[in-house]
Amino acid sequence: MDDILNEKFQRRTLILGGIQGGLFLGLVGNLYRLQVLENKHYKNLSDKNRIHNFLILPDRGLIVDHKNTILAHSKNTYIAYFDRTQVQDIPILVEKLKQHITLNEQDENWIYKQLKTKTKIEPIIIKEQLTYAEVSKIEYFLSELSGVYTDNIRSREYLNPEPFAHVVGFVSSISQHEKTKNSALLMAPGFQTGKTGIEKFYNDSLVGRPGAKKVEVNAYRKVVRTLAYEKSIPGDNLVLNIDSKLQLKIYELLMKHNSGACAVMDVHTGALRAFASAPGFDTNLFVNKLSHQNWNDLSHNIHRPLINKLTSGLYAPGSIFKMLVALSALEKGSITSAEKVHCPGHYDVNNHKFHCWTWKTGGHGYVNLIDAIASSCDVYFYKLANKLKVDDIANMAKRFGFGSITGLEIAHEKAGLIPTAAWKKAKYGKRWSMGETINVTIGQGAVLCTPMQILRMMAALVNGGKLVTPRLVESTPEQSSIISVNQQHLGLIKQGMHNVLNHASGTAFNSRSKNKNFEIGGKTSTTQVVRITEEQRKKGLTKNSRWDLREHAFFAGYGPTHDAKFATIVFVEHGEFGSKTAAPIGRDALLLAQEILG
Amino acid sequence: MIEKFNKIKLLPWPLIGVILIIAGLGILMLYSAANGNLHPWAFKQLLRLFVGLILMVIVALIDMRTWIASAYFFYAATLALLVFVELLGFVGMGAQRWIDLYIFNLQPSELMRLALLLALGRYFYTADSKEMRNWRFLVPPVIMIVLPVALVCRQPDLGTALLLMMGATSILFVSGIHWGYFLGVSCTALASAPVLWSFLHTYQKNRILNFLTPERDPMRTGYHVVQSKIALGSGEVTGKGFLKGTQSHLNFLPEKQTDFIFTMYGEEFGFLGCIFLIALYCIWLLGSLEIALNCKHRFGQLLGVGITLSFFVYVFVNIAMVMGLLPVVGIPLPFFSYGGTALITLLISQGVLFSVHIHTKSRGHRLF
Repeated sequence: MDDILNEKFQRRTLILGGIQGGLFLGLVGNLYRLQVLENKHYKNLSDKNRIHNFLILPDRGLIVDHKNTILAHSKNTYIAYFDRTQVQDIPILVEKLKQHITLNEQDENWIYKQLKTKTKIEPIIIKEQLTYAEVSKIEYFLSELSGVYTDNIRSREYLNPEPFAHVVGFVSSISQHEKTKNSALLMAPGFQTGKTGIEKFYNDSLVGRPGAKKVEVNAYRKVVRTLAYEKSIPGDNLVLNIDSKLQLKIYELLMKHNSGACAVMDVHTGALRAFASAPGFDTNLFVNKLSHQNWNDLSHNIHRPLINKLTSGLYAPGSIFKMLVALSALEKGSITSAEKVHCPGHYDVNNHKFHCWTWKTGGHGYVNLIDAIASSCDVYFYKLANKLKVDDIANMAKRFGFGSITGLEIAHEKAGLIPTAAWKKAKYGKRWSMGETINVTIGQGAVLCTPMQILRMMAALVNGGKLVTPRLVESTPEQSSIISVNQQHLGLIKQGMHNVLNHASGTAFNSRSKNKNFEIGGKTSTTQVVRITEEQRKKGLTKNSRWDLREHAFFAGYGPTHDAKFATIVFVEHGEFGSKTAAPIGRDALLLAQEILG
Repeated sequence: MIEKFNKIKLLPWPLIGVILIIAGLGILMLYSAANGNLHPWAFKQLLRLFVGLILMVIVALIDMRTWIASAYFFYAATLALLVFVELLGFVGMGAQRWIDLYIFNLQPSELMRLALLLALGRYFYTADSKEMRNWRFLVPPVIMIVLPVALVCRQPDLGTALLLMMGATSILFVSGIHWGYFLGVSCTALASAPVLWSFLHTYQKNRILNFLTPERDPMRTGYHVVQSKIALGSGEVTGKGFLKGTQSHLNFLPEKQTDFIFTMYGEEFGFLGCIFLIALYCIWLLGSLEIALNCKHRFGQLLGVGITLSFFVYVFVNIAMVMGLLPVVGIPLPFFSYGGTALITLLISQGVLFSVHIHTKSRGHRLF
């Protein structure tokens, strides 16, 4: 053998061996990096592959009426969503999904809208209310729809939604500004939160506590086993003071006039037995994604179904306010019950003519306090403006709860406005004028209140001067404060209100209760929406032909008159005559309440 | 018969022991890959190992002179088979590699790994240092290398092409030809890389691109490597435990019984387990290299280095590829990955090496 070649062979073989050894050391070094130095990182990735955490949504508490009739419950529904951190290309995913389920343009837009508004960790809802067939299809193709999940969740359903729309309210997906409160529930797709009504006010007790599920999945995203499971705790059930039967009947009566509101309350406890604002709306539409069409229909409806007219509608109380004017005059000692005032049909001050509402030529003639309330004589009250300051009236109104919220369990209640001299000075920089006091005496001018405030006042007038807080929920503690007024004065006011319905001169005599055991009292009110000018008056025009320019009709009542139990407020929007449209509803509401609950 | 018996006694039994330990661990992993089942892989592999070991001993007993005499014929026959699969072989796994022999699929490219080494050993063992300086002398071996490599590349099987090249180059290197040639070829190869690039299949290009940046497309072509690194890294120092690798058992790790079996092993036995296995491979390779070094016969020397180096390429490329250090080229881990042809070819090569060991006088100092 060639010695040179052999020597070369030995040398070069050792070189090769050295290279191999060096390369192996490189492998070991790299293994050290992967398995020792960076193992935490890879351990996390490995766990992320196989462990999926899910929140289990709790069942929302039931909402029932006082006889346990279910108004809101939870039902099973399927949703599909995706985790954007696991999706490479969202448009491609959407295209793939379209092969399996129907996604219209609005659904698609919604997905992209969520991408803009939601944070990275939040699930993006693909579709809610999936059919069983759609869920099965997605489940079947799950391994090619990476990042997509389906879930069987409990979703809210309202039974008979329209009449109860403003009591119960509705739930909907959590919105951006609500997210800080429920951070854990962020990750739960399909989580719903109360937006209006009782659903919003009692959201914290209705919502319950979410459970959690930790599962191991394989590469085909099938669940292999459950690693941990914590049950969800359902929310508390809520019992309302409302009586469904009464509520439905009242809603039906209101709907004959298109738009209005009515509530019935226990005058002693403040328990609301009916609480209806008409028209209502299908609250179920809001639980899932509301379509543009539905939203436009609801928001452009001239009868404003989305407004809770009992707590959010602000109106001039009109003649109903006269009781408080009378009471402040009595308390101040400005008048006595026997004093008579002449009503010629109008009252002239500084060349301005204030008309009495009456159609009788020559006015009401001589009227005392009780007659003035019964026949709602404006002139009687106009003349009180000489004896009372606006602040006297305002004080009495505030003691009966005007100008502040009633405190029932509905958010965004309006406080209204009770004008004072100081208020005008601050707002307009001008002195209060006598003409304005005259307007305030008949509940017009700047006075604004909600129907609920009138109801509360009515209850206080007839329960012996106790200002109760209205309560929709049975478990809400009773709350009231005593208004210190002379009981005899209250008796006079009650007598006046009794006569409104039970005396031939009363404005609502035609709406009286014929049940001798359950006579009702109250007061009507008709308030102008647009001033009728002197010119129109001369032409004999006292009525507007356009619906939305007609007067509002009110009736506040109570029964039975000998021992008041229920009070009611009826508002008929543009109902023209309190005595003709609102009072019959009020009478029926009180008689029904007695029949059902008495 | 007595002569045969003596020969068996001469076999390097400790080295065979190392191989058996590696193969045993491999079968254990196949058992784990099937979620604690002998089927479908572990039992079948055990049978193949048994058949392979018998073949190895038979091959080892064949006189080295027979190998010298039949080297060119073996090479020519294998080359013919390669041409045959090129024309007739069926398409399996997207690549034309197999001839269906009814019992098992024959992969001529696997046979070629040995045939090429034999032919080159045969060519160079007679050469003296004078001849070696003449460049014309190098034309035939270059043709011998280029023909099968080109055919294998066409199939396409980059892994085997790489193995053929590396094994052949190692023989050329230790045969003593001027190092300048290697420098020249390397420079030419680098310069012509862009041209070669255009000959590659799209999937091969993607593999190389994804190798350079595996996170480029983690859900598609880069998926294998990303998941493999996760599995290895999450094995940490001591591993997740036998049968407890989550990445492999929940199917996040693809090809866990073949090309990526080292990953599964690393996930279940951790860094310490990997060190142990690599140490076993080092002992095996050292033992094989030692046979070549101690051989006094030039044919045995050249062949020994060639075989050992191709063994090394198997181990190194496979482990480097599952760690994402090299592109995924489809090279199995010796005695470990599931697959009959690879195992049997390896054991036959090992038998040839043992034949060198038995039939040449020892230099006296041996590792085993």
